[in-house]
Amino acid sequence: MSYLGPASFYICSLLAVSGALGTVLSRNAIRSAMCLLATIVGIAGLYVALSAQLLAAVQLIVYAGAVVVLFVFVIMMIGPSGSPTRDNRTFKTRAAGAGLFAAATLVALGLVWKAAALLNLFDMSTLAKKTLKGAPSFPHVFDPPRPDLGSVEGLGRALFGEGMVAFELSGLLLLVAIVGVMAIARTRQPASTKEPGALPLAPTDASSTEEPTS
Amino acid sequence: MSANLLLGLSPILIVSLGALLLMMAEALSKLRNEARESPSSSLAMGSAVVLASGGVASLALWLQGPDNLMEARAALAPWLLIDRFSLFFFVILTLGAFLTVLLAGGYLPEHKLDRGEFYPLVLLSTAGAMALAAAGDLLTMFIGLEVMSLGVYAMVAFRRGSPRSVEAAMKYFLLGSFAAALLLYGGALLYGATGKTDFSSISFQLAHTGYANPTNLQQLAWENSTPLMVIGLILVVIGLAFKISAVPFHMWTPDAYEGAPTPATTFMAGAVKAGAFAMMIRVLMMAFGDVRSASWGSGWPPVLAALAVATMTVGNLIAGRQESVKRMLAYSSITHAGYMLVGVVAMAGTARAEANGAVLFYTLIYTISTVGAFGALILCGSRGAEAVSYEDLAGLGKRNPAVALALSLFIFSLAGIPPTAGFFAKLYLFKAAVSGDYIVLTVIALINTVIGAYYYLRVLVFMYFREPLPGAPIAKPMKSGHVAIALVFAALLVLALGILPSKTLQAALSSTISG
Repeated sequence: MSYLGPASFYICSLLAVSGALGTVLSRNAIRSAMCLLATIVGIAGLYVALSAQLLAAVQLIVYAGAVVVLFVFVIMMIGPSGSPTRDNRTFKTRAAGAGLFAAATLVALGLVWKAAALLNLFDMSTLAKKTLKGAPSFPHVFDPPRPDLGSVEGLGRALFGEGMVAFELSGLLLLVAIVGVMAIARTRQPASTKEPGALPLAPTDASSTEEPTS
Repeated sequence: MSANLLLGLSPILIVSLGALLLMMAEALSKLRNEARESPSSSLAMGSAVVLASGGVASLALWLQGPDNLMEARAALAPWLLIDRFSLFFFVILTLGAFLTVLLAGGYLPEHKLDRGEFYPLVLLSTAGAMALAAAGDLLTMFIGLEVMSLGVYAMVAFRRGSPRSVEAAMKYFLLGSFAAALLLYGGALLYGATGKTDFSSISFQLAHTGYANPTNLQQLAWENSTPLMVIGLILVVIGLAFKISAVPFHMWTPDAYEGAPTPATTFMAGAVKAGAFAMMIRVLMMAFGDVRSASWGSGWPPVLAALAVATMTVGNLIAGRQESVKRMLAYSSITHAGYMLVGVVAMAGTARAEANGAVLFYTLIYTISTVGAFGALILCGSRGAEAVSYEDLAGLGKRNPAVALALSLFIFSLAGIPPTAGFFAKLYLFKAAVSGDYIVLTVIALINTVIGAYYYLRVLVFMYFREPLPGAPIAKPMKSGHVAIALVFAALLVLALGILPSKTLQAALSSTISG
């Protein structure tokens, strides 16, 4: 919000919230996917407002560019007949769901109300960190977003500087995922050494799951 | 600075670099005749050497004392905390994995699952579990947990041809991902409430909320963040309770344990559980160890006590009804998680250091005993004649006394019967709970121990006092040097720690979390 102003915040939030509602409420799967796209774009806009430009770009590329496209592919492949149109929920489950949703909304509104009161009561600018060097402040108040932090350079500095241990551990995570995929996907079983209970990759019927294994 | 960093990290580095080297070695050794020579025999030994050196490195760092490694610790903090607590858990984890790879060296060729990927998976998973045990920040905690879990998911699905194994892996994967997502969500809420991701800063924020004269702003900011904090803590505890398979988050355990290849089951019951316990203790003691959060009236101890009671009792009652020995051991591992939770609750009380030592000692003994029990079960059966149900074991004491003796020893240790190490583990744990004034909890745990003796001793009854029914399938013990080495090693440890527990207990007692 630092330099784009409140207008962009409201536009992006509206886009995100209405998109989320559309995703949940729409009965047409394609329309749901398109509403999800709107949500993702809205959230990317919010990231820009928080001066996390790289995150916004990644959000667009990965979620809008890859994930939603994948969803659409799957929906197209299954076709419109794949989705059930009838709604089997009873009145009771609907009432319970609506009640939970209303309660959660009320709690959230209450919290927002309190936070708004907090902002009105106190001038936030006087609250700028006046702590001693090194000592954490309490109760904590988040820093305003720094424009340099969300850039590629800022993220790179954070990743390879203070967060290097966590970064290297994520490398280990990717490695174990690759090895795991190899272990599961690679089949090197000649016909002669096949297990008696082994089945090809074809769909299996439920009864064959009863075979005993050690 | 960099040399210090490497020194502090050396246990994790040895294990993960060893995994890379073994993968390279396996890929480049194509000259080997695969039809004649099994890749397991060399890989199992190689992995065992790597894990043993990782364990020795941790032990050396422990003996040197982390106080002499201040620079290394400062370089790694707050991401990974190399204190005596982590190093003790490093030893437990490498020991559990060491025994696992030796068991796999016998099991995989016998059951025609002889593919080399299993060993790097165990090693990388262990490195993840070590990172998890040492994590001092929500980020490294999550990454460590995922490194550990991803490897285990793949290990469970290793018997790809068997629908049961695939079903177990799918169930474990879906529920595990769900639990990890809850944990991540909880971590995000904790960050939102405190503005920090490392445990000591979170605890600092929590501890400084009781101002003498709070200004309106401080009061309001605290009140606003309390719900976030509570929900965040609940979600993190649920995520970790899933990994230690505490009731009611245990539904996946019997199926995953039964469907997985037995060495994978061993790893899940031993190292995975130990790593998750280390994390649970660290989160609760470090981030939420302040006076308010750790008191019975206003904090997490009653929740954890309820989890402990449910875990012990439900695990025990269902274990008694099982017909499959492997499933019985799965439920028994749930029960043991319940006992350990009693110790974690006791850490919130007055006898904190004592309870800490007792839980660490218990985790060590439990890991060795349960790995040994699963290993003995591997040795009891061979391909086509596995030891699955109690009936399969009938008359084993006469047919193969050595294998039966090994299984009985580990069963004794799990049941807590002297002179095995399991007795002292339980004794110290309950003693610590009593000195923390958790009498009711201890009594429930004691009753459960007595109930547990029923299904443990049933194994012995079948092995020594029953004859197999004519025509019924019986388990034929397999022959494997690897498994035999692992079992002899574990048996020696169980006996040695049962006869001379004091040194190790002292070590466990001094392995406290340092902030």
